[in-house]
Amino acid sequence: MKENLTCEACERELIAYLDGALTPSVARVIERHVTSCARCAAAADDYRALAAQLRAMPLLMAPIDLEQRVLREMREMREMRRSRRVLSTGWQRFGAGLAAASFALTVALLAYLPRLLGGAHLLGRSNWALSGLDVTIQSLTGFSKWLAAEVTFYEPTARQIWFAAQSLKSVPRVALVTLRTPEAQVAGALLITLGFALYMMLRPSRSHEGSVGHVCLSL
Amino acid sequence: MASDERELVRRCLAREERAYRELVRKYQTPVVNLAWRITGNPDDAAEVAQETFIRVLRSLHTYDPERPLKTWMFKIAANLALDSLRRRKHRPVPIGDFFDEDEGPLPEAVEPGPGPDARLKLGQSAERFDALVREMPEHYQAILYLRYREDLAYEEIAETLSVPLGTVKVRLHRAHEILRRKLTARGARS
Repeated sequence: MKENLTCEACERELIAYLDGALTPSVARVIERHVTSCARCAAAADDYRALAAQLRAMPLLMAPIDLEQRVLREMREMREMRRSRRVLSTGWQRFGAGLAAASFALTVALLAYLPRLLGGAHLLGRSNWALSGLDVTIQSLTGFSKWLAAEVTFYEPTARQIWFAAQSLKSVPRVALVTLRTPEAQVAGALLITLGFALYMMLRPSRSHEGSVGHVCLSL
Repeated sequence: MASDERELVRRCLAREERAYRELVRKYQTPVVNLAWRITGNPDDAAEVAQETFIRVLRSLHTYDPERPLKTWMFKIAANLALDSLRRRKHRPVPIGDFFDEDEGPLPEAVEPGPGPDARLKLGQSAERFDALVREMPEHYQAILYLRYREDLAYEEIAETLSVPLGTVKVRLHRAHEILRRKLTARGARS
């Protein structure tokens, strides 16, 4: 700070000086000015007197029931949280039980499905959905082949798309053939029911944010 | 943080009701008074204090024990008091009005500055002096309260009110200057 300090500049720093909030070098400059300037010395005296008055400013008493009000609200909030947790745990148990029952039922049904359908002479009909799917896929790939051929005729650069479509043709067919096997059907049903059971058991709740379930589901 | 304060926080985190009581009892007066200085209304201050303690107890797990508990609590109280002030005035109080300092002439310089021979007369009661303080805008009252009644360092005040350190210095200077002018003028009149 400049040594030839003006009174205005000194007054701006006076409060911080009296509060001991200035760096030692700046405080020394202010101190030198105050000891040599009657006006700033008077201002410093005034500020000191004001600070003493301010330290004695009256306090408002806290309401006598503040403690009780806070405690009551904390208790209510705790009760609410507890009841919500009980409810949520109850639903989780119910869901997990339902999922386990559905899992067992699915396994049993899938194991006996061919035999049941054969006995009721319904085995042929059960494949209608799969046959429909097969026809749809064949139509779609046929259309894409035709389209690719048309595009290739006009635009040789589209040849690569045609090759790509050709190579992808086998993918839905492989999936369809796989789906037709009972092993794949059982595995699929198992995965779906297991996923459902896991979801119900590990379902996150607001009070368990960051729990194993929350992390698993977010993954 | 002092070890007894650390222990109090630990017990509150363990949901000990007795610790809740201790915490409220220990800090209720400072929190109520800071809220009062900001809202200017004892009823609003009581509500703000209640809400402050609820917030503090609910979010104690986020509190950094390396920082002073009181400053953290004051910061929550100041924010809530400002919200209360906004609601009561039914108008948005721009955050800059409270938390930033503008340079320029003193807006409250209704009294002329003291002349070279004018001297401050402080022979009045604490109540009359406080009435003068309460005439000042809320942000000056809050800063005076934190500095002189709570003995907070400038850095702690800056953190509590979310303002730069320079703003704390400027506001304290202005608050003193306003009070000095008012008192000098009254002394000259009487």
